[in-house]
Amino acid sequence: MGRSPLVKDALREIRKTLSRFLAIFSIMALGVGFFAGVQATGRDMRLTADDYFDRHRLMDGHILSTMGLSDGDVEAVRSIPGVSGVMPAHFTDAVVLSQDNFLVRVHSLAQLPEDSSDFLNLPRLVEGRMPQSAGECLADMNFQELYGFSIGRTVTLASGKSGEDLGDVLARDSFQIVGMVESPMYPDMTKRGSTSIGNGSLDAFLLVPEENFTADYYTDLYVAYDPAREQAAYSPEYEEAADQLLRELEELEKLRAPARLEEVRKEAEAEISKAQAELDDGVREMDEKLAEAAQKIADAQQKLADGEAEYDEGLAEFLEQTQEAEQELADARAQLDDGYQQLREAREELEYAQKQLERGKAALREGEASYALLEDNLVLMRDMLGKIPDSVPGFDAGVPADQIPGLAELTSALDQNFVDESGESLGFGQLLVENVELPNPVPGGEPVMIPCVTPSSKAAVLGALEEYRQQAAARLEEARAEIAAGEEDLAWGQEQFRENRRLLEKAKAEYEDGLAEFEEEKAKGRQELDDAWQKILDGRTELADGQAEYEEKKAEAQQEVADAQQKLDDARQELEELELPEWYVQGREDWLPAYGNFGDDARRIDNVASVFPVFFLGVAALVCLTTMTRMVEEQRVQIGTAKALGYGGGAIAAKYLFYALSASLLGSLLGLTVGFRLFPTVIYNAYCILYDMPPVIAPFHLATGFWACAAAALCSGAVTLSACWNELRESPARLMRPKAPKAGRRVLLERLPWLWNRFTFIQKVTIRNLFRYKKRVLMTVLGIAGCTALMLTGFGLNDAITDIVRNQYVDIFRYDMLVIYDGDAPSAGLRAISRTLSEEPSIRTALRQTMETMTAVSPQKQLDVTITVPEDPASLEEFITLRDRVTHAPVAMDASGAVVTEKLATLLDLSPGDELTLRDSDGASFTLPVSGITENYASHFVYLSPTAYRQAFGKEPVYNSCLISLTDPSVENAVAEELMALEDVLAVTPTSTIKAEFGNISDNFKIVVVVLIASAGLLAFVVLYNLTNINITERTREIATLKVLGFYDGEVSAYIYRENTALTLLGAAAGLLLGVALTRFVVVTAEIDDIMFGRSIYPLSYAIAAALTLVFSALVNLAMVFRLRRINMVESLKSVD
Amino acid sequence: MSGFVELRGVRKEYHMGETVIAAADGVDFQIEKGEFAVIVGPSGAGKTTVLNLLGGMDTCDQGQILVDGNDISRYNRKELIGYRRYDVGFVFQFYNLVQNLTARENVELAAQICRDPLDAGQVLTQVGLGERMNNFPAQLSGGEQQRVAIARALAKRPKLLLCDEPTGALDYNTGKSILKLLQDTCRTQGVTVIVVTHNLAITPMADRVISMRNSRVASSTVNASPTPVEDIEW
Repeated sequence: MGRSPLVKDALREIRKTLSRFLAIFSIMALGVGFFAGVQATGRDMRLTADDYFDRHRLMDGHILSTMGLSDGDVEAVRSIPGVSGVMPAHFTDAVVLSQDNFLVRVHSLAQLPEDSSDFLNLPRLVEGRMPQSAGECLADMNFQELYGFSIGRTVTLASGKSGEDLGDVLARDSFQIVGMVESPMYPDMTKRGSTSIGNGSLDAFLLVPEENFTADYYTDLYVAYDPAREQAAYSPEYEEAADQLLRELEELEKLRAPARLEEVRKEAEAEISKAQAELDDGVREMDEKLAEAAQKIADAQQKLADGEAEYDEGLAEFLEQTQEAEQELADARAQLDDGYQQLREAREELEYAQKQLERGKAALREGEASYALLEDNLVLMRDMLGKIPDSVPGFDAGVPADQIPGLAELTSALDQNFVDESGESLGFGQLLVENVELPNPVPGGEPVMIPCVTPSSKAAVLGALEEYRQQAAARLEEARAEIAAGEEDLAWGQEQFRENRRLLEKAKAEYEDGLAEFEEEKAKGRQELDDAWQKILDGRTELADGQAEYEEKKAEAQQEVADAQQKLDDARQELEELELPEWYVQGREDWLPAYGNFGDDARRIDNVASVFPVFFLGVAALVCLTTMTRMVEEQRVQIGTAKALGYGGGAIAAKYLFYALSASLLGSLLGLTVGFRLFPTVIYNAYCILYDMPPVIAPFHLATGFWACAAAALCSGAVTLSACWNELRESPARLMRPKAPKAGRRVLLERLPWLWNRFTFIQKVTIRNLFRYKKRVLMTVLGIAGCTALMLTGFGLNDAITDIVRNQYVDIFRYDMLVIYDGDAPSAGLRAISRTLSEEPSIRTALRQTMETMTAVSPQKQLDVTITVPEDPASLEEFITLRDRVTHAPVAMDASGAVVTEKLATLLDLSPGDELTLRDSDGASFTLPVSGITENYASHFVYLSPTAYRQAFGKEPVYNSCLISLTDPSVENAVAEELMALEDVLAVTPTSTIKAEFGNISDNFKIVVVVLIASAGLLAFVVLYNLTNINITERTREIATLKVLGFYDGEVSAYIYRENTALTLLGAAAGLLLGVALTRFVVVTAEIDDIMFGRSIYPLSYAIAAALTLVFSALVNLAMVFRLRRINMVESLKSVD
Repeated sequence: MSGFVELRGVRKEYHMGETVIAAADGVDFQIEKGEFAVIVGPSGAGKTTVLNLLGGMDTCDQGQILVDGNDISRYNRKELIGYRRYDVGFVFQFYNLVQNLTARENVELAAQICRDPLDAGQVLTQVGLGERMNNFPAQLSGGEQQRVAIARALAKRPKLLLCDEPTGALDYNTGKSILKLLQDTCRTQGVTVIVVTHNLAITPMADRVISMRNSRVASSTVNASPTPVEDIEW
């Protein structure tokens, strides 16, 4: 075109109508940017992944053999052309012992330089360093992010299967973390694959130096294949090349399997014979030991018998000795009693003697008194006698008695007072009187005898008296002596008594000592005997125990030997029956748990990209069409003039084409520049909250950019040409005349007067106008509807994601906690768990169930599903709601069929009555009928009654988990801790935790939604602005006329906006309808296999989407108020152009 | 005495880049109440500017514009709208009917915003469109459309009826009948009518002829005996 006037004209036109140019420019920038950006996102995701996988040498093929792999296998694989690296490796699954036990896959970390082409699946060190010693390891970022492990901490592992020892596989069970890594093998942080231990789902991986694996063969083999590597990951070319590798490997298997079998057989034979020898040695050793033990028992028996005999002897001796001692003691006692008896008698004697003595003393005193009296009497007598004269005158011989006064008395006194011992008077008185012969005065007479007292008589008396006195005195003396002797005797007797008593006391004390000693000795003896007896009893028990133990051990040992022999025999048998090893040759998609997911996610975005952006582009094209049509119509006269001047139709159209193309191409370029960067980054980052991947690579895709520009150009060019076409067909003359205004027409509503008449005048005008500009109305409505639909889709997607958490973890999973324990644990452990569950007061109810991970298979798909078998299907509804999503009608579990979750049913195309095929981790397949489909959002579940389980799998379900509902959810941590403390509990997961985690993930995904809503909002604004702008431009004259007629600004605005408002409302309503469909489509396409999004849009979302549209419309109208004000009334005077 | 409509030294400038063009350069004239006045002059003489100013569609830079004693040149935007709404009726060269409204509705459109309007049907009958008032503009001939436009202006009971080349788009006979309608209206209803035209031929029918040249009033003559429209030929 050069510098032709038309180009100049076009450039000037752009300057003059910059706002129109900008409208096309911006709508195209938006549309193309969004289109290309979202289109590129999936590709950029794949590109980023491919780059990451290549840099980290992600495997292309993987071999897992039923017999392990040897160095021979490695070399054989290496020799396949194209294979650029082979990494033999080991792995094992284990439980990490920690606060919440979790399952890890422990991979061997090749001990190769990092740049070695054999070092595949290079981990990406996020933090820390590579291990330098065998006890160090690299841990999955999940260790840190989910379980709070940090560098420096030691990971302790345990085997996840009871009866298996991790020590069989690994040289040590604890490793110190020295680095945190991400691995290209595990791009999805939520997927670590499945395992045969625990709940069947791995939570993390661990890389430990290869030397820790004790096996002398490799578990698996990773292969890098150059022809595949050169292709982009996820591309069909890659798949093709990788398939080629897999085919080659499968070919190789045919060669290597027999060789490996031979190797294994040889090894096994050597091992068996070694084991047999060992066993034989063992048997010998055992026999020796048993004999030794039997001898020991016999010895013990003998010893015991001896002991018993000894005891019997001891007992007899004891009894005898006791008896003797008792006899002795009795004798001593009797003697002692005698002694006492004698002592008592002696005392009595003594007492008697004393009395006698006393009596003697008294007699003595009496005697003394009598003697004193005697002496007195004597004195008296003597006196009296003295008084008697010797003679009387007349008589010389004496004194006649009669002449002596008182002689009688004297004599009587003498007679009476002096008596002999027998009391006989001694007749002293008579002595006194003596007959004296006197010559008889009468003579003759015989001499007269006259009693007289003569001196001789007197003397005789006196003498008698004296003698008497002497005798009395002698007697007294004698008595005195006697008394003295008696006293002496008594004193001696008393002395004697005391002595005896002392001796006796001593004897008694001795006796008592003896008695005590005896008792003591006896007790001691008894005790000794008892002890001896006890010892014998103990000895007997011990012996019995020993015997029992011996028997047991013997049986055991024999059993062991038998078992060992059996094992050996079995091993021989097995060896006999050993089949060719089988290789499981897998590519990335099959072996890596999330490789495919990432590709699926990228494809899902491609799906979204196939609808959303097209929609955007469509709206953009619509806007462009409206704008250009208007422009061409406005310039009718110019076109006519140019035509009249002789310019060809093409040249004239070229101006408008140039205008539209430059606007749309410039807009496209801006859109591409921003879109290629913005959308992949934002969407990828949102997705990468789920993926452990490096930052996105978002290049400018030339081809996409070109095609997007081309599409934009084509769109705008086509609409421009079509707009021009109508004008160019007409003759210049007609063109130069104003176009006949579009005729007014009555609308259908006017045929309904009862309704029509109800409208105010202005409303009628509005309605007519709406029907008058059908094209514009249609475009406006479509544009607005599109924007509303896009926004509603954004909100709907948001609702769908929000619903997952709300529906899944509030409405469907109503339990508060899931406890997973070792179902194969010893019964004591299981009892402890049941006890805790039933006794803990915060646990309201609990339901035991089986949880097993299997693979649901259909010809098109393979999905991990969790088989759930509640012990009591009737009470499942307290914990998990099984219901139809739409009707909420409960779905019952029956005796034979499986209730499957909705997404599973959709993906596998199952409906009630169909057969579901499941494959367990050993590869065995089972089919069972589907009896119901239940609402579910996260993961896939198959609910079976125990009966159905038995029917389907032919075995009893092993209960290995428990659903718990709490009385008070706030105590969940305490309850979880209590449960975790139990030995066999593997994991306790409070529902709230998953809910929170899931909530976080879905919050992050909402970034995509925000991008959608923001883009849609922006689009809505641009569309509305542009359409309103055109509307006003087209009606400038009418508006000017209204102004001239004296309409106030408000009235003018209302006159115009009433239509806009009506159109906006109409568009919003249509948009809501369209949005529902679009949402449904996007939700279904954007969904990942594991998750079903909510299927309902919240009323609030409709409200917000509609309200936002209205707000945008209001904003646009507000902006237009100023344009309306600026419309010059002079326009009304101009001719119609 | 001052007239019903009086312009005193009215000046209006348009800025076209560097140059200043005076579209009205000291315009003075007056028109009495009830007069049928015609402003004539060649293109670019400033007639339309004067019309715009009189119609309250534009404001002058200098001078006074008195209408019924009010200086509308001092009016603000809102007062000007009120002036247009209640005091002025406007008849356009291209009728400026709202295409989507029937004849009657076009009249009602104007009538519904002013105080004490005439009945739309009555006015339309008055302008001779009693039979066609439910037709849309597109169904009417140019003359009929202009009648509707006149009816629309009259329905407001304006003090002043401003007509911008009312016959410019019409054929001779129709133009004549429209002019007659305007003259009759002026005579019978006492409305002051100002017609702007470049057609000198119609000046004889005016009570007052204001002739403009080069943005000024060249002459203002009062015609004591106006010729009836029927007798005018052009």
